[in-house]
Amino acid sequence: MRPALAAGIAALALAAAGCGGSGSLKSGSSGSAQKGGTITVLSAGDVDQIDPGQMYYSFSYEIGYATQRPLFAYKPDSVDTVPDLAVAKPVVSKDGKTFTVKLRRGVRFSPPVNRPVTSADVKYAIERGFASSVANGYVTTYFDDLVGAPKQATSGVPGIPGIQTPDKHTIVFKLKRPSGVFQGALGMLITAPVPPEYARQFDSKTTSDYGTHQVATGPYMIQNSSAGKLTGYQPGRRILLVRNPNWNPSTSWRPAFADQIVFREGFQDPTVLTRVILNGDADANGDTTPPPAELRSITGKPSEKDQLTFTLEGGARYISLNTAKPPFDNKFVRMAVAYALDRNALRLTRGGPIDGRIATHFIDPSFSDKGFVQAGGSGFDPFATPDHSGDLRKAREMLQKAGFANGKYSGPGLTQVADNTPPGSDTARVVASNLARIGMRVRTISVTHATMFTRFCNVPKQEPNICPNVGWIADFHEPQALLDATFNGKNIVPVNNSNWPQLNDPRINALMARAETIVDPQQRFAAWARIDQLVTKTAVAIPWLWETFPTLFSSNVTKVPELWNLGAPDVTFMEATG
Amino acid sequence: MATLSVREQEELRREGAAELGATEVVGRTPRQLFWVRFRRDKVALVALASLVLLVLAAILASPITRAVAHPPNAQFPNALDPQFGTPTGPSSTFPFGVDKVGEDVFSRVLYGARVSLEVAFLATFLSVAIGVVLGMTAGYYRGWVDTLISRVIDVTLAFPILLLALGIGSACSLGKGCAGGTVKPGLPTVIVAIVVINWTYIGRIIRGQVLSLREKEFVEAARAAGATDRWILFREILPNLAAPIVVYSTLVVPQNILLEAALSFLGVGINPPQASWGEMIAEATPIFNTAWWFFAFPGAALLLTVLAFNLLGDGVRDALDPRTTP
Amino acid sequence: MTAYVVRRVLWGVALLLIVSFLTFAIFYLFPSADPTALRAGRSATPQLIAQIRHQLGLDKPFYDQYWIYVKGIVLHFDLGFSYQNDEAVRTQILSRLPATISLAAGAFAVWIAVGIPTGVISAIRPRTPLDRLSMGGALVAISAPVYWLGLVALFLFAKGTGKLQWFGGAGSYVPLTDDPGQWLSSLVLPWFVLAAAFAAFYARMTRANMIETMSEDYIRTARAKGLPERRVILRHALRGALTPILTIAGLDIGLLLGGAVLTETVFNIPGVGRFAYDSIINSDLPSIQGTVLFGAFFIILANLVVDVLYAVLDPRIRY
Repeated sequence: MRPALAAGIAALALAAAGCGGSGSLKSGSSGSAQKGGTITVLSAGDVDQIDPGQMYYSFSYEIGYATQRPLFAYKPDSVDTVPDLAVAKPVVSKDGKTFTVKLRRGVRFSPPVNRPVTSADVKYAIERGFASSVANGYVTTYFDDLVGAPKQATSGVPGIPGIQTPDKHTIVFKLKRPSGVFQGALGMLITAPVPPEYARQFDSKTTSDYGTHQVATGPYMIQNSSAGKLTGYQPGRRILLVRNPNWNPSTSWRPAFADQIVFREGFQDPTVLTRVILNGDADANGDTTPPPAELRSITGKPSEKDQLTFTLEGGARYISLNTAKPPFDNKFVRMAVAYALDRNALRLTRGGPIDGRIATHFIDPSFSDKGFVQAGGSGFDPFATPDHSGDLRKAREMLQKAGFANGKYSGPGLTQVADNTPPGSDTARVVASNLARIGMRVRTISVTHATMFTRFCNVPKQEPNICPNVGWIADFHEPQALLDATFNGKNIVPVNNSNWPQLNDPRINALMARAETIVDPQQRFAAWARIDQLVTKTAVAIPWLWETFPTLFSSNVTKVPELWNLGAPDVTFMEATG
Repeated sequence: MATLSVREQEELRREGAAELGATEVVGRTPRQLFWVRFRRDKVALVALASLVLLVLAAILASPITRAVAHPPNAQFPNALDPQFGTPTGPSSTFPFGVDKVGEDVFSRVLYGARVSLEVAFLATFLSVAIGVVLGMTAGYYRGWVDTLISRVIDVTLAFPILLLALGIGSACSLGKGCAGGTVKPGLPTVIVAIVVINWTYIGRIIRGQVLSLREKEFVEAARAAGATDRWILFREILPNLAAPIVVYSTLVVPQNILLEAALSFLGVGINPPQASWGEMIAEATPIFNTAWWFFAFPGAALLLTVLAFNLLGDGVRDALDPRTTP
Repeated sequence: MTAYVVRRVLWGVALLLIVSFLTFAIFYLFPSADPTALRAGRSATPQLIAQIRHQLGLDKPFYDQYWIYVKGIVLHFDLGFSYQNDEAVRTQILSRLPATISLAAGAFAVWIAVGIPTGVISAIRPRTPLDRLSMGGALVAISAPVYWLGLVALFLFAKGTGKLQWFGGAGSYVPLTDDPGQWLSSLVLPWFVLAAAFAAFYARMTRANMIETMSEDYIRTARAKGLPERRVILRHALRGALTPILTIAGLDIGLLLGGAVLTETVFNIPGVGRFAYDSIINSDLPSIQGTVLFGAFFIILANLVVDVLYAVLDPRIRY
């Protein structure tokens, strides 16, 4: 999923084992389930796009999962996809290249389209992602292996021969190479059906505005007029979800208790956001977490403490070092940085232990035996320091190996581009201060989050030496989704690059290419675990946090476990009790 | 007859008066009058004394912090709450507490004084200098020069001030700064932003003054005597502008301190690791109810400094022109 | 007279154009979030980027873009479209205007009601303890940064965070039409905080003006005529003292309608000032231009009105 774009992103709902954070979850009182009421969720920012075929931010998925039915989706508490629009897991051919999915019957589009959903609608939904008027940002990463998928954005919606619809309720995907992770990709919102006869008029414009005229298949829909234009979406201010009259509860495992869900946006101050929820004027936080000072006050009061839940994130935060220019093209200098950083102090900038565990490599604990354990768990820490607080002696040793006489860096000054608001700005301050101790003068350029990415860190030509506020959460629960986009040399692109260190190690690239085609799960996890270890040892990026995402609920709603990759509660499971 | 200095003339007069048995009537120059009145104003004297102390403290910030506190940019994560990372308040090791990354607030308040004072003096001096020169030029030469300068002033003043300062600050705060790298982010940017806006006010005032002064007789006389424009401007007119210049400067210094603090508060002025009172208050805003020391001390410092300048300014204005106090 | 007014209006329009051009220039050149990259998503090909840039009109030269912009304003009152917020700039400004007006109008009422009487009373009874106290207080009020006062106010009086939970705190603003009670409660602290410095300034100015007016000859004449002191003060002295103050008040209102950035930021009031600040920080060029133009418009308008009034009142004044 999007690199950590708001304070805290995805979360992993814990399995019943309950390792790590305290994920005490009430499983929704099944007998006395209360229908009705309005639930309010607060957020700082807006969705990145309102069109489900373009959505990528975790916050956008909160709305997307409530209003759309992709082939597969996530239940709270689960890291594996469960069939949503599909009836069962895909049937995979022996060679791993053909995926057959059967669709549920009885699913209809919301007004004004109203008709039953067919497989052609799913085909169109994926195809339109390749059109330049829609320009879905992840379609080439996960769906370009489809036979006949266009190599670049087409004008007009292309027909992809690799997606076949033998009948109205069956869809077949043919891939060029075998893939073990394709099913995970089918849990992304681009597979939510879109009616072609209705959408074409919008998709044929230079920039599609289907988003502001969309129809829904989920239990809720964004309020719209009878002609289909959204009335419930006020960008930057409010999104109003009402019940989808054409949603049939017997076809879905979503309870959908509330009658209305309101997303109120523009709460830039996380303290204010927290207080509004504590007052009961809103029910949950969407894209922003309560800040540490508030967490401290809340956990200190028994009545409020119960309103918090914590869930593990599927990913890590790290400090990225740009290997495309000196001095970080030298591995000893990078290792010196790895030893010099005080990861404890870094974690304190985000709230300390309550915010998660100190990360030592890139596959996080939420992956348990899907790669975390295989990579050595918490014990694998090639740059271990006492108490994770940094080891200046070792750092100086590394600098000496790099050729700096008395272990103090004496090269030109370095630049980092960081968030201009806390906690990102605080993290950058700690990094600068840590590196000053080994002689590196770091100049910090403070810009907004979006600018940091779109103009500096994501643009290899403009990238500074250090990008301290980056991180990555998996798009779906496979270790490939953690390591491929971020460390594979073939994924370095001139704009919107996510391989921030610009790592291009031929050996690692080859290992990844092979691992992408492994169909057997255990072998796949072992392969990616090995890649994780190798990448960590290069010290091109220093991981420092496996984050825990706190959600604050008001006393008027039931607490619901978070979706593992959303870092926010699933509103279709929330009950308004107050 | 040899010309006597003012003092010699005074002495002669006094001797003559004493001889005649008359009571002493001492004439005084405006400057002397100013000092006499100023010395009588206790409040202004206190303000002046405290400002001198502040300047000293700012200059000596380095040895002071080394003696009784910690370096302003040294981070002490151990001073943060190990459970939540929240900063701790005043204690014996940190008299003013620490900030969110564990830096000593006392030291940063002291170093912040440097920033405020530098801005106060540099920015004010520059804007007054530019404003006076351009104002004099416009008022004296009139014609197209006057039109041009007045129009530039009009345009500048049409911008919402804070937005203009914000704009300049934000545009120059990135990477290499602006104007081809001559204006670096941080203090130079703030000073430039303030000067660009501020020179217009004094410019207008001076222009108005010069417009009327140039019609006065002494100017005519100087011209008749063959003086150059330069001479007239700097020897005849400028001395008469001393009072408005001083008055304006005393008014504007505290405003500039507040303006720099506001820009740093909004994030486009001084950024960490440099310490600035405004920036510290900005950091305190999300946690103000749990970390009161973090906005109380820098804010109090700002308030007291500006207050002292205001009091001093009042005293100076009163001493120059006592008509406004009955 | 008409010629003078017409000239001033034309110059005002010219000013607006110049302001908009300068704003465009200042922000055009500096890095901000690239809207093309925001739209294009991850792993976008250079071809896609170029395509989107073309769609957004961002590949046109500077002058072209500016010309399109000016045409939009003049012909349709269209202040441009903000790619970051996905909404027209005009809509965003207009939707935030009620909050700014609520804040400005209320603060104005408070500072006039507090500042001017204080100044008058101080002028009538100079050098008394009352005078010293109020002028001392005024001095402190102008020396305190408004955002710091805001924090102090929130720390002491705001619901949820303050020691005494009397008024709505930061972020509690709701429109008047939604909930008048909460609207009022959320604005009390911002009104007083914003008004503080102005009230102090106006008190000092009133006092100084009153003292000067009261030493004028015509006041002495009025007194000699045997008019009651009250009448002398309120009818005669005050009128003379207030004229310059009223013009400044007009200019201040003009300034505030562009948005009180600092107050709106501290109290989390979704007004035009806050919007302007957010746009600048996000380098959202269309929104910046819109808000700067908006603010400049009111400043120029206020100046124009004041100048014309002066010209009406004093025929000696011409530019």
